[in-house]
This record gives sequence, structure tokens and C-alpha cells, in this order.
Amino acid sequence: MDTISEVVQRARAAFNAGKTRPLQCRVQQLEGLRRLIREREKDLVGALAADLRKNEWTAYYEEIMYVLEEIDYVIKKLPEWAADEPVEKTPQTQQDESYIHSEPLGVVLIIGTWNYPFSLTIQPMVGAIAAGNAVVLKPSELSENTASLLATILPQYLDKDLYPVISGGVPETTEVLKERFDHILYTGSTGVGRIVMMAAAKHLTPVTLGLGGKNPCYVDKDCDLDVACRRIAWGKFMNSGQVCVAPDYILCDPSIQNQVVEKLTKSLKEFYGEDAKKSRDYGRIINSLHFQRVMGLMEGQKVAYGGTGDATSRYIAPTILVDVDPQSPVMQEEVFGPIMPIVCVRGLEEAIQFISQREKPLALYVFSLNDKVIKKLIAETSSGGVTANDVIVHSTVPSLPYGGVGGSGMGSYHGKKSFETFSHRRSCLVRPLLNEEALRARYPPSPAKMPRH
Amino acid sequence: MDPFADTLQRLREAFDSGCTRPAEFRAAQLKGLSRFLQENKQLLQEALAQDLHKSAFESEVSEISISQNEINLALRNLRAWMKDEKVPTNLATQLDSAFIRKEPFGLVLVIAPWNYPLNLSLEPLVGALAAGNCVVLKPSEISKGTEKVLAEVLPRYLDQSCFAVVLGGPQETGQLLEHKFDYIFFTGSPRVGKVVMAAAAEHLTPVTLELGGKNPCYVDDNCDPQTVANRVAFFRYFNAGQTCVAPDYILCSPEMQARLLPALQSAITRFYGEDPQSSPDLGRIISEKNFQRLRCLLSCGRVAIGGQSDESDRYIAPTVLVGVQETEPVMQEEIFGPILPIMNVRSLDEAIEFIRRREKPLALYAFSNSSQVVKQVLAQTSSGGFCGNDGFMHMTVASLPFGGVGASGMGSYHGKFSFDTFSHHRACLLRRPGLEKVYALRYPPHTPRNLRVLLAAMETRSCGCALL
Repeated sequence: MDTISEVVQRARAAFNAGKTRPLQCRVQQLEGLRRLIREREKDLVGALAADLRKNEWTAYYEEIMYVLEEIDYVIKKLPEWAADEPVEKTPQTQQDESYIHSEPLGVVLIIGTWNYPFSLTIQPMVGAIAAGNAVVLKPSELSENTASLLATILPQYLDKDLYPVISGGVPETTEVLKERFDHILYTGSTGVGRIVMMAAAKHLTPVTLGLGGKNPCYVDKDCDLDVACRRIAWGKFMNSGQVCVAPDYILCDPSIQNQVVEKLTKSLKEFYGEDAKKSRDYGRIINSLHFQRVMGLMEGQKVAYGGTGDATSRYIAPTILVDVDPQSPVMQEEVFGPIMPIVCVRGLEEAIQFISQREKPLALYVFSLNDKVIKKLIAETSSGGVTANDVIVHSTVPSLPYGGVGGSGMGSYHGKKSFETFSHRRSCLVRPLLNEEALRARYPPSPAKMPRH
Repeated sequence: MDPFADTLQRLREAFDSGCTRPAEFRAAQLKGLSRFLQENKQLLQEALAQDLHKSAFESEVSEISISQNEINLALRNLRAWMKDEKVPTNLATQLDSAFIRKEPFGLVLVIAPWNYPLNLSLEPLVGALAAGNCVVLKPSEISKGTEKVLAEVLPRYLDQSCFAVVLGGPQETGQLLEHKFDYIFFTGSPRVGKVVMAAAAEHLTPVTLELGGKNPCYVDDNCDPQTVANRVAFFRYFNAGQTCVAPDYILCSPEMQARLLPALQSAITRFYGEDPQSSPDLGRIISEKNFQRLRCLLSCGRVAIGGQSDESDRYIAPTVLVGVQETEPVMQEEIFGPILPIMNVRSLDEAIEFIRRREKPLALYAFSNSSQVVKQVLAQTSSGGFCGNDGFMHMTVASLPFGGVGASGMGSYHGKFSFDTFSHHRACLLRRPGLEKVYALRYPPHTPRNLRVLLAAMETRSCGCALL
């Protein structure tokens, strides 16, 4: 059994041997990934069901589909992205070739997470492979079935040396972080994000950190509440609220709070029935620790809908809390569960102030029929990304970079951004070894009189 | 006692007030920078001469003009750079508006080094201000003359509610780094780069680190030695070798070495005269400490050219060393002085292998009449930047990003890259509340029929179509 260090060294040796340089080899590996998904669909769906009670639909729609789209898109665009990019010349460099040459960084570490254990590990991996790197994968041990499956099947479809999978928990992650990498992409909590960046600093390794935060969802008085609440309910309660870009809490005027509750409730019943526990489409909390944590957030709160849970099956009912006090525990940490707190604010200004006083979130949502409201909210806040009049979807557009800012992270990926994140963009100037006469003016001794500019 | 808390608080409040957001404000700051340069040229030249014995020529080309060009570029392009960048939508979002909004991070810290103390303070500052941030500048305490001008004169030209200069050495900088910034831009050594990144990690602050390394300079047998010698010598001895992108050492065959040595001597004499110490064009070593460090390096290998030094003047002659072992100190650390070791290799492959065994440098140079050789060096190595057949000219092209890789750094800047570095790129999707039927498929309950539709769409790769 190889040590983690040996595994990483082998990946480095394989990279240094030049295996990943030809585009064709990278494409072959990506096609291998595609075959893996096609041929092992059932196993993937099974693992996701075991870990998070995802059903076929959610497995395909929320995870597998994105990875397939990414693979297709990246394979198609790779020749374009990998080509030298000529740049504008200066007067002094008119005779020269000047361009940006994209190169792989070397060995990339991707630390996955448990809520989308397949897509959040493999989607970044697609970009890293396309950019020509070796990739060491460390899936999250909390989603143990998916982690174990990836460890088994990836070596069957991809180069074993270039793309090893490290299994294990905190000790193994700590161990792997001691090794030197050329880029580390981590998805997870702020606390661990700090640890990862600290470890990376020892080797001057650049990092991409996809962290979390409390994603505000401002619901304006002037909006189509039916549509807004349906979309919010969809984005909030998918995967039982365990989505980093889910709307975390609602901000709205007290005069519409009751309607919001009513319409959210209506949508929830349409989606999951009277008893969500019986719905095939409703997920479960990943483990007991998180179950306890999320249940605890309801304590002392005014429950307008839901509020129950079952520890044995780690089921928590879709829950709506009203008149939530901003100081209460549910507003102090990312909920990451099926609880929607509603905090009342009077008007847009108060909402903006509320949001700006807090850590920059990964996503920000605003529902309004008034473009001015949307523009103002976006202009006077910051966040990783924004969707207006819907939730989640900005993170699914391949041409938009996906990432956080401030406490919600640094760096971004998806599509071309992944390729750039995992590449070194090397500035190149190539001159002819001629025309020395023309360059004489630059050499000392400098003229007695300085030329005027 | 926290000497920085009040200043940082003031700058944060100014940022939160939104005053740096309008283009007019940012343009005014940039114009202020421009006036600073124009109205204090002599003062700056004197400071640079005091710090590094920089000639008027070097000050002009490598500090003042280069900064002015960045300011002008930013002023010309500010509004264009600030615009939302529309991006193509996919099938699922074709009815929506998708764009990237460039936003300032907030409070930015720029830590500048001593070797180009004006340029390496102002260039990052241009980017940070253009991007709408409030900025704290920590100039190097080692280049005291320039530090004084930056601390006492520069702030008068900028809005001081949004800009501050803080002073101090390693201890004060450590204290400063305990505070939270929204971005840190550091130029300096890899050793201190690690300290800066670790401090940044505490607050999850993104960083750009412009570090250093030993920049190899491969000289092929197929070239004109005099042309090569002119170019290498010029870029090696510029600023007395204290340049992060200077060619650090030469790799060539023994035959080439024999031809290069007289050519290098000829170039040095032409540039600096028979007595380089009396040339106004040759700089001096920044400090006693660095002078001593460099003087020790003079005893590595054998001195083929130069080798003289004068402690009272912190002067080191333009020097070429031969017969150097890889294990000797001159090949173990970034030289950062007017000393050029020549290492022998027997082939291009051996040169490439030598380079690849070592840390990725900030710059890499290859000289050859054969463009195939140049391209091969480029293809089989990595470095921050690369120039074929010249020294660090690539840095002067604003449309090329300037930065390192691996131990030589992370991130990049210059021109638009500066603006982008100091901006958060916020992904925005604006959707309409209508067309709810289009999105209906995504809602539970997920029927077997819907699943079949989804799978069929995935088959034909029209996944995005009408499902989101």
C-alpha cells in the first residue's frame, strides 16, 4: 500500500514525463471520464442515493448532467483555449512575436466535498485535466459511498498514475496537505479553507477556495410572489438545503411575510406533498452531527411551517421560520439545511445595509419586477455571484466564473475559467537576433542631455 | 498600541461610503498620480540616485516613464475596463442577461520593494485605484530616499480618505499584516512571500505575490556572441543587477563561453568605460548587508571579468564568473547584483534538464539564431515570463501579464491585468419572472416521464434546453 507521499510523487513523475502535454492525451482522459459516467451510471446513482438519498432525477439533473456538459464543452473548446494568444504590440516590439502561452501548472490537488460529492470533485477535475495537469483527488469521507466508488472506478477509466484518488478522512487530508502541489482547489467550510491556505502558503501554492456563507434572498414588495416563492422553494429545499448556493435566508417587508410563507408552503406541498418524508424527491441530512446542528437552529424560533425531524432517518421537514431575530443562532452560521428563516426589513435600504454589514456571501438573490431595485441591490452589495428573479442558476452557466469573494472564497472555475485557473499563462516575447543597430540607443553611456518626452 | 487601526478604520469607512465607485473619482486619483510624477521628477530622481545611484536615464526609463505609461493606459481605458462584461448564455439561459461585473475588493494593501521603489509602488497602486479600492501603501524602508518622497509628497496628490502610506520595517509590517485586508499585493522575496501568504490565510485574503528566482539565460552555439553579450550585459547590469527579471546566470557550451567572454568585456567597457566605478550609468548596491552578501559571492568559481568592489561606495564591478559549481552559493540563491556566472552545458537538452531540476523562475531567456531552439526552450520549461533573444523586454508590453509561477510567484498585473487583479469578477444572471412554464420541468415531483425527457436531452446533448 503506497503512502500518500509516494502517490503524489508518482503523479509528479508522470507529469514530468510529459504524458499530459499533447492535447490528444488530455482529450482521451476526458473521454475516459465520459465513458465512466455512461457505463457506471447505475453505480453513481446508487452511491448518491446511499449518501444523500438522491434519486435518479436529482443525481442526473443536479450532478451528472453538469459534469457531462462540462466535459463536452471543454473538449470542444480545448484547442482554442490551449492555443497561443497573440497580444497587442508596442511600438518597440512591432517586429517581434508577443503572445500568452498557456501551460499546465503541474500537480493539482482537488479536495472535494460531500453535498455534491460527484460534481464538486469531478467538475473541477475536468478543467485541471484539460489544462494538462496531473490531478490528485481527495473526495470527502462524509459522502463515503461516493468516495469509495470514485476510488474504485476512476483508476479503471483514467491513467492511474496521473489521477490518483486518496481515500480517508481528516488525518489523510492533513497528510496530503503537507505535500507540495502547484494548485489546490478546495470546496468546503471557511474554517478548513484557512487551514488549506495556510498549508499552501508553506509551498507558495496558489489556491482556489469555494467556501460558504449566508446567501441573502431579498424579496421585494413589487414582485410576482407566486413565481418568486416557487423558485425560492425549489432552490432552497433541493438536496434538503445542503447546497452552497442555496438562498440561505429571506429578507422581506413585514407586510408581505405572511404571503411569502403561504406561497412557499403551497409550492412545498406541490413539490413534496403533505408529508415530505414520504416524497421520493426529498433528500436527507448527510450525518447525525449535521442533523443535530440543523435541528438546533430551530430552537426558540417561530415555526410557520414544518419544524419536525427524525433522527433515525436524518429527515428534517421543510421548515419556515418567521420574525427571525438577526442575532439568533440561525442567522449566525450558514444554515445548510431545510430551514428558511425570514428576517423582516423595511425597504430596500435596510436590506442593503443588512447585507453589507455581513460577510460577503457566495450568492445573492433578488426578486423584483423593478429593474431599478435589482440594479441598486447589486450595485451596493458584493457577493460571489448573483441571480435576479431566480436562484442557483448563475452557477450553471459555463461562461460565468463560479467562485466566492471575501469569506465565501477566492478564485473561480467552470468552463474556460477552469482552464485558466489550472494553467500558467506565460508571457512570451520572441525577438530576432538581428537589428542590433536599432537597439544601440538603449545602451549606456546615456546621452548627456535626456531626451524630452 | 496598534499604530494602524485608526488609518485602516478610516479607509474602510471611506470605502463603505461608496466614494471610490464612480469613474470620475478614480480618474481623479489617477490624474493625481500623474501630477505627482510630473511635478516631482527632480525630487524623485534625486531620491533614486540617493538610494541606488540610479542614473537619470535609468530613473526615467525604468521608474518614471514606465509608471506614467501605466497611468495613461489606465486613464484611457478606465471606463471600458469598468464596463460589465457580457458573456454568452447557453441554451438554458438564452433569454437571460449574463455578465461579469467588476467590483473593487475594498481595502487593498500594497507592499513594495526597494529595487524599483517608485515603479513597484506606483504600478500596483494604479491598478488598485483604477479598480476602485482604498489603498494602503507600505513602501520599502530600505530605499529611504524614495520612501520619504512617497510618504510625504505622494499623499498630497490623492484623496487621503482613501489612500494612506504606512512606514516601518519587518516588525511593523508583521503588525500590519495582522489586520484584515481584502487584497494583498506583495513584491519581494519568496521567503517573505510565504510569511505574507500565511498572514493572508488567517483572514482568507487573496494575494498576488511577485517574487523571484534565478532566471536562466541559455545561449546557443548558433548566435552572434557580440549581439548576445550586448543584450545580456545590458539587462544583467541594469540597476547594478538588482532586478527581479534580470538574467541571473548563463548556460552555454565551453566553446560559446570562450567567444562570449571577450564580447561581454567589450560590452561592459563600452557601456561603463574603463573604470566602471566612475560611470554615472552604473548603480550601487542598496545596502551594506547586500553588499557584503554579494562580495562573498565574488569568491565563487573564478573571476573572468570585473571582480572589484569598494565597500565605502557599495560598489561592485560588473563581474562575470566562470568555473562555478552548482553547489556554490552563487548558484544557490538569487544573485540580485552585478555578477553573472556562466555554467557550462554540453547540449540544449542538458541545459533544459538543468533548468527543469530547479525552481520555476520569474523569467527565462534563450538566445539563438534558430527559432526552433528558442521555441524548444520555451516548450520544455516553465517560468513566469519568457523572452527569446533579449532581456526583460517582455515586461514593457502592457498587453502581456507580468507575474511568476511556482516559487517565483502567483497572480499577475500590468495594464488591464492590474485592473482585473484588483477586481472581484462577480457573475451575474438577470432573469425575468415570466416564462415559468419553461422552467416547470425542474420542479418536483420528478415523474418517470420527466426523467425520460431529461435522459433523452442528455443523450442529444441539449441538456440545457428548457430544463433550467
